[in-house]
Amino acid sequence: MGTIARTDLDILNEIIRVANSPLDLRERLHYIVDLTARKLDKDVCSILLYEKTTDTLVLRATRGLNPSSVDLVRLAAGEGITGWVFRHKTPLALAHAAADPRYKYFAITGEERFQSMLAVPILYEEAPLGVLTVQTIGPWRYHHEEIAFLQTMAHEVSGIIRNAQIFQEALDKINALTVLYEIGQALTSTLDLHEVLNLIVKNCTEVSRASGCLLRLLNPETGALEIKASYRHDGGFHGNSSLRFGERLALRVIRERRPILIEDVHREADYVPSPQGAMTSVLCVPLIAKGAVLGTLSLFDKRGETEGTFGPFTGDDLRLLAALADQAAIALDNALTHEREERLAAENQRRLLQLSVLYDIGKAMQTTLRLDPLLRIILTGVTVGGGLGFNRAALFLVDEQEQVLSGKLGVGPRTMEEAGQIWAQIPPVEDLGRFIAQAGERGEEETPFTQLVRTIRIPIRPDEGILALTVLERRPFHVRSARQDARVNQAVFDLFGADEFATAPLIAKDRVLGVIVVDNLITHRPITAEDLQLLTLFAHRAGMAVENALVYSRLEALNQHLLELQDRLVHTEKMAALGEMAAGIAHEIRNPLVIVGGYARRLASRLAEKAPEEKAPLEIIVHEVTRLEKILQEILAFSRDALPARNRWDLYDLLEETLGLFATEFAESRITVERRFGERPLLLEADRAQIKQALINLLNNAVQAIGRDGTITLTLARRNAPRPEAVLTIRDTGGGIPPEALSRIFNPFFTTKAGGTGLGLAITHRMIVDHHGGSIEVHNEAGVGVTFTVSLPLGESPSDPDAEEAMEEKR
Amino acid sequence: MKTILVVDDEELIRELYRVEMEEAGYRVALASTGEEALAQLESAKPDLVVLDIRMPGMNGIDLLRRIKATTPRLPVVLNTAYSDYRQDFSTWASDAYVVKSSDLSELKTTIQRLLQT
Repeated sequence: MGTIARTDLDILNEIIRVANSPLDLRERLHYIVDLTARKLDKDVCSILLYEKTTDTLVLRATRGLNPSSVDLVRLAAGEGITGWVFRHKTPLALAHAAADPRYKYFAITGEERFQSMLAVPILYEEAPLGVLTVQTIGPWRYHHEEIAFLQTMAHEVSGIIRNAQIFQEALDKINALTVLYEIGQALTSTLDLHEVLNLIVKNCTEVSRASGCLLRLLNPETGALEIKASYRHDGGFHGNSSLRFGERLALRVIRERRPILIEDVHREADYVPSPQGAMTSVLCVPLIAKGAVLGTLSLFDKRGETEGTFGPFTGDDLRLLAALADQAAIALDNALTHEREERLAAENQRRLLQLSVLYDIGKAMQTTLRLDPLLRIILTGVTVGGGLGFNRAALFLVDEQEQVLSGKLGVGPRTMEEAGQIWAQIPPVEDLGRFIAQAGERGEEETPFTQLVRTIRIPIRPDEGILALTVLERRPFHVRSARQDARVNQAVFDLFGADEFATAPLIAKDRVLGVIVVDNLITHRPITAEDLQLLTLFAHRAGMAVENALVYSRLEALNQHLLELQDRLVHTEKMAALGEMAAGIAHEIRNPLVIVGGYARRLASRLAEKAPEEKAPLEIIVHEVTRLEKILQEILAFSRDALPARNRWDLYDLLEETLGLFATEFAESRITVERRFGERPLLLEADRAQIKQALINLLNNAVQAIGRDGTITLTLARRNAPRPEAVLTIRDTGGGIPPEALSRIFNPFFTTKAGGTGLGLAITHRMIVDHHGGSIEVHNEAGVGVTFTVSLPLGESPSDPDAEEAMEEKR
Repeated sequence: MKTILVVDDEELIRELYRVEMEEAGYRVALASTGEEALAQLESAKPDLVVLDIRMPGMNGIDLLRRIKATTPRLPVVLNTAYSDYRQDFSTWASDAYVVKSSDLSELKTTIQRLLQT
């Protein structure tokens, strides 16, 4: 007893020494089996430890059995004698183990030659960790002290294992922390988003021994979850159905803002079997930075200790990944912020450039007040690479009189080749202003695109397409697909051919002057909201410049018109003076010519009989005088007709105008005027002054006939047969004309009145009948009054053929 | 034989007209001014007057007015170098307006026409 007790103490001392030694677990276990076998003087001592992942007891150390069977012998819990001991947590001593029905042996160990067996459970606070066994070749009945000793040893082993486990866990934790630290270092070492994403998935996969990892980010604009990075330990890719399942899980993680561990996906209700089928366990954690969920990190299939085996993730993995995710989220947030900042900086840079471009174009626009160069400057600004950069631009101006948009200018290539040629000329940005300003001066020959644009005329109505709408609604339009847009005028679209285009109104002082149309026909670069904004801003400036140019060109046109008027006036005056002079000279020349010609004719006719041979020279004189007289006639006709006599006017107006001259007289003589008028107007093409004189004469006649108290009745109407004419009757209550005088009233200088010239009616007759092809009749009611009926043809009246000719010449 | 009074301030014209008219079978009286013409109207009692418009002193139009006022039936032919007197209302009282020409045939046919009626 005492020896055992002393031996026990020695052993314990040694075990404590071993337990505290820096040896690793395996070596210490070996030491213990060695020691135990020696102290108990037994042939075999072995330790089998429980492996949770496989639910088996595995041989971890032995003395006496085949050493190469260590780690290979696996025994299900409850199987064999060892398994039974493990399951029942109670020692079992057998003198003839093979005789026991629970007995089981592994050939590899060579244990069949051992007969007795003692097995005690290794317990730690009632939980079995494994089994400690001893065996002997011969049969052996184990006595009480031996069993107690082995139990003591098992207890020590339990302590060693537990310590080792704690040590391992501590080591693991330290490892995890080290990894976390290293990942953190790696992640913060770069701000490149792409690099950060790839670092995260790779490290997470490797650290947590997963077979793959997916990183999803929430798109802040669309709210959609997008896969941004993936990694697989073996370098492959995940199947689609797994991704879908993974996405549903990721959405749940984002919703619940907590990590979710799924040990076996096959047990999930919404699992869709995938052909790959490899996936069993999924671990998904949210990436949260500054309280906002950025996305998720998902791990797939934990790799087992052995290659090609997979196991479920554990709570430890979950905690590790959550810690990793925290680090990753911060790094990710930094990278995202950095990216946003870079984008913002680039944006600012671009804005600055755009502003300077706007400034340059604006400056260029100020270099001219002429419309055509200005329009070219505008469109060059819209299309130039360093400017707004559209492929093509066309400009339409509003024709306010006709209410149409008419194409003025187009700038841009039609083909890729042309585009290359044109764009190669584009200068660096600093020369942009000069380049654009020069565009106005270049006055290039008409390009095919301009010719095309010039053929387009669009009525400004709501149903006439986008260009008309741009004017009517005074706002820009962006058409992404002209083919599918009902508002687009398809005929115009066919001419332009670009499916996407934008328009902007040219506005100045609340008036829409025109429309700019742009597209990217060649490069197909989509038109962004910003492009459109810049175009609108630009169009506003251009509108003001165009307004100035229009005002200028109107002034110029007005000035031109005035100059022409002045020229004409000078010309007319000159001609009038010339005519007057010519007439004066002509008259002075005419008398001598008559004399020369007249006597020459006399001589010629006399000599014809007496000396026919002398006749010829005289006839030459006669002929030449006649020619001179003809020239004089022409000169005089010309100077006379310098004054226009005939134009179209309304007889009603003239009649009222003439009556107005008599207003005082009518009132003083108490004469009432009755008007019986027909349809207005009655347009005549006649010498207004002559007709007015005729009316004055007729009214004068009536007034004088009445003397005092009476009525003048006027009727004026249109008569269509036998020819279209205006018929005016003037009836007085002057007592009529004595019958003997009636036939002479139209004779010149005939008068029945004291103080009359006798010319009034004669002149009236001449003017109306001879000069205007009209007629004048008189109807006399003796004792009552006289009615004059005047008719004047409507439309062309017969005119002097000489005058017509002269007019022709003048034109 | 019908008598024609020719009123013109240009002597050579008066002479030309005289020989031509006499050859055409008229008796011809001459006057170089309006005043002379008025006297001739009394003494020669012409059947027709050929009247120039532009004359020193009383012009043709004044004379025309006088003639038409006293003897409205006496035909008057205005014969002038100026075609634009046609525009003047006052000339319309004349029976004919013939622009002066070295070719006297128009004047002669006009005189013939007026004396027949």
